Amino acid sequence: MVSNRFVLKRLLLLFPVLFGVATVVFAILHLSPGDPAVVIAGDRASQEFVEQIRSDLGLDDPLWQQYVRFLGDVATFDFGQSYQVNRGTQVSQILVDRLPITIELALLGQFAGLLFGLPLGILSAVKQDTWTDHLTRVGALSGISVPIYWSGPLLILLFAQFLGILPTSGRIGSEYFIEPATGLILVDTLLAGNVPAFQSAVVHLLLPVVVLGIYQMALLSRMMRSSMVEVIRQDYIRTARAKGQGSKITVMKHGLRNAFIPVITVIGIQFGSLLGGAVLTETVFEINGIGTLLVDAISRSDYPVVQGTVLVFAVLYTLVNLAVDITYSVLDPRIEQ
Amino acid sequence: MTEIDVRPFGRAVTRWVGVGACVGAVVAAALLSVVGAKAATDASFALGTLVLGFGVATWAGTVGFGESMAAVQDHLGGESGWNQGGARQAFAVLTWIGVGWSAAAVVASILLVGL
Repeated sequence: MVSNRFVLKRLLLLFPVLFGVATVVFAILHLSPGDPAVVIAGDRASQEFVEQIRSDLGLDDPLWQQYVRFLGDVATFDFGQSYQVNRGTQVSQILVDRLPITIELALLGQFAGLLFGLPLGILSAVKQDTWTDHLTRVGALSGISVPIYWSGPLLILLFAQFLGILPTSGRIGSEYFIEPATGLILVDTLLAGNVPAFQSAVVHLLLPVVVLGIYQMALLSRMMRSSMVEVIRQDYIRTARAKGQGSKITVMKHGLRNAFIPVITVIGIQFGSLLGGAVLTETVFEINGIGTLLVDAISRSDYPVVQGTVLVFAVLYTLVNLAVDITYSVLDPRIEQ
Repeated sequence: MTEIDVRPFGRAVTRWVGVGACVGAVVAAALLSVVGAKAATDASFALGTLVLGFGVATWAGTVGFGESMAAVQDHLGGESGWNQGGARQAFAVLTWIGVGWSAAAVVASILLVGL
C-alpha cells in the first residue's frame, strides 16, 4: 500500500516544479523578440498609442517588478486576460474551455498506444526471433522514427484525399451542434444521446488518435518486448514452466507484473511527449485544444495565454508522473523505501 | 542538520550566489552601453531567472523522479554514469547561481533605473 508520506512528498514537489516552470516561461517570453503592445496596437499605430498600451499592461515597468507581479498572480491562479487570442477573456476561462479537448486527444492516444503496443510487445517477446518478432520490431522502429508532422499529412492524403473515407480536420461534423457538458466530445455526444453525432466524432478523431498513438504504440511495444524478454529468462519463470504450468499462464500470471514496472515508468515519462505531440496533432488536424491555443498565443506574443498554457502542461505532466509513481510503488513496494 | 553540516553548505551557497551575482553584474554592465540601462538590467534579470527557473524545476524533477529515471536507465543498461545525487547537486548549483544573478540584476535595475 502507498503511504501518505510518499504521496505528500510528491505533491510538495509540485510547488518547486511549478515555480521553476513559471520562471523559465516568464524569462523566455521576455527574452524572445516581439512586443505584445505592438501586436495589439497594429502595424500602423502611432508610437504614443503603443506606449499607452505598454503602460496599461504594465510592460514598461522594470522586469523584476513584472516578475514579482506575475508570481503573485500565478500563486492565486490568476493568469490575467488574453491580449490577443481571445482578447479580454480570462485565460483561466479559455483554458477551461480548451483543456478537455487536448486531454481527450492525449488520453485516446495513450489508450491506442497501450491497446496495441503492450500486446505487440508481449507477442514479440514470446515469439522471439520469429517473423512475428521481426515484423513487430521493424514496425516499432518505423513508428518511433516517423514524426507527427509527416505522418499526419500523409494519413490525411491517404484516407481523406485518395480514399475519401475519413474527414481531414475537426472533431465532429459541421452539421452537429452538441452543447458541451464535459468538453469531451465523445462523452458529450453520448450524454446527448445523439448516436450519429457520436459516430461522426469517432470518425473525426480516428486519424488524430492514430497519429498520436503510433509513437506511443511503437515505444511501448519496444519497451514491453525488452522487459518481457528479460523476465521470461528468469529462474522463477523456468521453475513455473518446469512444474507444468502452461506458457500463456506463466507469462500472464508471473511475467507480466514484473515486466510492467519499467514500462509504466516510460508511460509516465512519455506523457510529456504525448502533450507535445498533441500540440502538433491539433495543428495538423485543426483541433481547437490548448495545443493550437499555445501555437496561436506564441505567434501573437500573448504572454498571459502562453504562461497559463505552459503551466497547465507542467501540472498535467507532474500529476501524471505522480500517478505513475504511485502505480510503480504498488507494483514494486521497494521503490517507496 | 548539525552545525558541522550547515557550515560547508552555507559556504557553498554563498560561493555560488556570489558567482551568480558577479555574472549578473557583468552581463548588465556589458549590455549597458549597447541597449541602455533599462533594457540591459531587464535582459540580465531575464537571463538570471532563466538559470534560476531551470535550476529549480530540474532539481525538483530530479528529487521527485530521479529514482524512476535511474530505474529506467538500469533497465536499459545505460552506462552514462548519471546518478540522482550528482544531478541534484548540479541543479542546486545552477539554482544558487540564478538567485545571485537575478538579485544582482535587481540591484543594478534599482540603482540605474530606479523603483
